[in-house]
Amino acid sequence: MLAETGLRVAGIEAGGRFGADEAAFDELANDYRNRLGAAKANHEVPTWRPDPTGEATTSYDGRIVSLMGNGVGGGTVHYAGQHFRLAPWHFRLRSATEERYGASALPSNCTATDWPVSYDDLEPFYARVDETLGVSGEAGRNPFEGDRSTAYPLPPLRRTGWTDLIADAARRISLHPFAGPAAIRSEPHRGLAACTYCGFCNWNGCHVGAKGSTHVTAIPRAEATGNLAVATGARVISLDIDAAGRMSGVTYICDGRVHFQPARAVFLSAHTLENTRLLLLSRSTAFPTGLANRAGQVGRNAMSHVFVGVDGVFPGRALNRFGGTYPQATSLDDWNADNFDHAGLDFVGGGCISAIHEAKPIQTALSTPPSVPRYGRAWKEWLATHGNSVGRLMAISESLPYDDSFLDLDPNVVDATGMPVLRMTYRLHDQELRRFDFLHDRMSELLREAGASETWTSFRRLPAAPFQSVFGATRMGNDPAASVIDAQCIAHEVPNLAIVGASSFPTSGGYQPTATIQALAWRSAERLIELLR
Amino acid sequence: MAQVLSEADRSALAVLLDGLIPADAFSVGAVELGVLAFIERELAAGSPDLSQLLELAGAARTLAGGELALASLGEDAVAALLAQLNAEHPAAFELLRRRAIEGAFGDPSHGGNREGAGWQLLGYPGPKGTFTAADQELR
Repeated sequence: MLAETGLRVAGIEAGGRFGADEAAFDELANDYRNRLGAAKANHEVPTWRPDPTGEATTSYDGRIVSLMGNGVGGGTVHYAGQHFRLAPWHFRLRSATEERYGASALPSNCTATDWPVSYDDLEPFYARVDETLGVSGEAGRNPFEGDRSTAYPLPPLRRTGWTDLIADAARRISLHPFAGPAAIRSEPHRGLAACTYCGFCNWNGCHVGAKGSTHVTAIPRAEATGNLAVATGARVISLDIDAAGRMSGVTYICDGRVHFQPARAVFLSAHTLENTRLLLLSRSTAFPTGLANRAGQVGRNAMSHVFVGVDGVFPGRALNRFGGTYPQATSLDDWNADNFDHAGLDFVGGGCISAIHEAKPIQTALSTPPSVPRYGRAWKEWLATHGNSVGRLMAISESLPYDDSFLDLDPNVVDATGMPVLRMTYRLHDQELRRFDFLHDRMSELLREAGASETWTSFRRLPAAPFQSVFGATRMGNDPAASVIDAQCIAHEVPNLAIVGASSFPTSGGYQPTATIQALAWRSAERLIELLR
Repeated sequence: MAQVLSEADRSALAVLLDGLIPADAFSVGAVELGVLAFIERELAAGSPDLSQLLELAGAARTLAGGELALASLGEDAVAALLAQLNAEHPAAFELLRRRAIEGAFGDPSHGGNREGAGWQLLGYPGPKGTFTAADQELR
């Protein structure tokens, strides 16, 4: 967008550029060792503590917990590719909740606000994103979706025995299943390849470039204009201002040397964690506690998705979920947003439930029911008998911001380059726990209706949060005292700084965030172009 | 490859791993699957697991009454030992269980899951670039 308008753009990326030939069918390296974060993210794991008075720890059982990767295309290189728009309700969670359930439906320490944009504001940008990436889906089957100005560019990903099994069961209990939308091409589009259903989307680049990853979609298009030059292996260490307090450029390290990239405007789009860290690290006389942080809002209102996973075993049936992609799913919005009556439930919102493919062997061996020993002879026999008979539902649950949930710089822990890592202060509050339990129960019921003889939790609620899905911390709003950026994602305090990503979200929404991040970024780019004219 | 574990620690971990993933009609045991080799490769590459693995190996020797006694335990005695380690060293035990599963079911290029035997046990056909509609039918 920026490059096609004729603006000259310098992209500065800490990681490398991953070609399709670097995709690996390797669950261990991708899912459990975060191969794509080796350049940077793996060496700056945030610390975590549940409450503001405790000590923060880096201990996650020695595991890297769902970090982002680094590289041209960012998280879209290794995302699963589910591509949901938020529902109109998600943008006005607070006012819609208070209208229907009263002012006390949200706890007093909950800092959720309505978004300063509506679904209708974003719809044209969602549509442009769909067309640019080649999104696959089935318009009109989900009665809860917002109005669409265009159909999906491509038909849904292929239906399977497993997705049909869950769709049929859902209809029998009066739910509304649909083929989940995917930023994965079911057919070739704009000269880009279609999916081969290999089953290695998540935490991996696509081996044929069939995902909507921006390093195969938007970025090459921008580079073709001649106006975008991307530097790789270039790690930004500060965001710099001039004497007037406007952005003058950024400082980065490449090949061991310090460089300065001057700029008329800066688009900060480095994931919630690094957006926040760079702002807090960029201190100056004008911004003594971090760039765009005179109001003390950078880092506040952080939240995470809560992933809810339920597995069920279907004895004697080969479900064949090993192949296929995660988003090749049957999805349901019946228990999302305000699509059901929350009276008496003591939580608001919900989550989108999906019956997914992309089962993998380590993951399968790790998720056995509690009725079976966790190792040894009986465990092995269970896996050998039922390993291909386990079905998985996943939900992405809404979560809300609270006054004791925030990101700041850890006072004790630095990364390999000596820069402080982020510290996340976050715990699951009562609403999040009740929402988890509610979704868990609905998912278990659905699996049983489909024929599961036993169901169990595959993804338990974590004390902290999977770090790839962190939201808020530079939230958007109309009030400069209670937000960092405006409705166009321009910093209230720095007129030529746009901050985009899930860090802008006032509430998390009950879906994967990427479609909304991209729509907001496109809208912000239009605004920046106006400001630069 | 640098050897990180002493022979005594190797043999203690081998006993524990073969208790976690025993040889049976479905597959060979963990050590023959390459799980110990996988763990040693990760240690040589600098994984942070060493102290917890040594904690378990040492505790196993102590509980069994020494290195030789540990190596000669029968299957039921190993199962009882694992239960006790699980209760008394839960974090280290869970780490070893995870590494055992990662080694047994991860890609063979990492040193474990020899000849894809772990995958065969699960009914996983192994990675391939294309899964067809027929591959995804219910059976």
